[in-house]
Amino acid sequence: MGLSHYKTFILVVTIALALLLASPSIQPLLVYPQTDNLTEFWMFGPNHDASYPTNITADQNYRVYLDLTNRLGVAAYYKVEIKFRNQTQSGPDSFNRTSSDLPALSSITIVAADNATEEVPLDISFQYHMADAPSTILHMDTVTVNGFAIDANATTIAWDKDRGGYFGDLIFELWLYNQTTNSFQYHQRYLNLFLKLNW
Amino acid sequence: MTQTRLTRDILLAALVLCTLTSTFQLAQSQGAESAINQASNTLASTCQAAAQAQAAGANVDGLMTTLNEAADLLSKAQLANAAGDYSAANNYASQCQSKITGVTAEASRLQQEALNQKSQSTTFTVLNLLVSVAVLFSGVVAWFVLNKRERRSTDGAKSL
Repeated sequence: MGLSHYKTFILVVTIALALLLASPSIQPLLVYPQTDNLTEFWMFGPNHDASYPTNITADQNYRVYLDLTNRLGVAAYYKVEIKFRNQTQSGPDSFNRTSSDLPALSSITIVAADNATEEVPLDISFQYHMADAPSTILHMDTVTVNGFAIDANATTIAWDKDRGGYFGDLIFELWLYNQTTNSFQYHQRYLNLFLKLNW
Repeated sequence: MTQTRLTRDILLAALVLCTLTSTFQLAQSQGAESAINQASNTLASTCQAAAQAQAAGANVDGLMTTLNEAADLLSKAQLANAAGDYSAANNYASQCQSKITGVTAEASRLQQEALNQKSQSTTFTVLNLLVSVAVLFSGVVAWFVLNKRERRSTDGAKSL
């Protein structure tokens, strides 16, 4: 029984050994499943779940959490434009992927590393008044975000006969900074809270 | 006559005061706006530097924490500006600007470090592959030699 009886065994062992030795160099060549480059954008209510404030009382504080996960493959710089509209004003369009034409009340800035999730808590309250009777128009005064009262008196809300109430829409539009054009571009994502403003 | 003049003077003084106040407010508002734009541009370029460092394989967790703090200050500046509190807006924008001072340089340093590490890793990869090929080659050569030897001994046995 010479070594020649083990020739196949020796060949298999050396191939296995060579593969084992080469594995750290081969590993970077492996192609892992790729996901689409996108940004996840969602919102939580005051209890960090999907129960959102909908019935609004003037001057009462409501907390919401805006969350985003950056899956663009690079660190990204975002801004969230906060807008408030009545039912007749322009809103963002999911089908045409366009933002609302309304000017933003204000915006907040978020920076996220690749694959990182960021959360921004927002404390929001609404200040409004009714026009003198017998009017059925509700006048917005300010929307207070994290303690800053932002003028919203350009918005008036008419009584909705069908649904029986005054309804407004608080919108959060996501914009992404484009490093090529050095400007923010609408990232085709928005969240909104449809609110019944009680009086 | 004196009363008319006095009224005129008072009205004139009120007008001057109103003009001065609105000019001051306008200047304050423009100042805050400009400070916010400047902070926003700096944050954008710093974020790009961090993105490049991350793409080069650097760990940018520390940088991102600072950038997030700066983003939070910028948000406060934007909210204060929208609320008409220009002095607070200016203050927050300045804080944001000073928070990110030096972050771009740090990002470049991390990027360079990552690139150096990558170059070392390439050398290791090449050496590693050479050793693996050598092992594989020696195995194949051994198999051929042993195969030949086996064939020779089989042939010898047959001729006997």
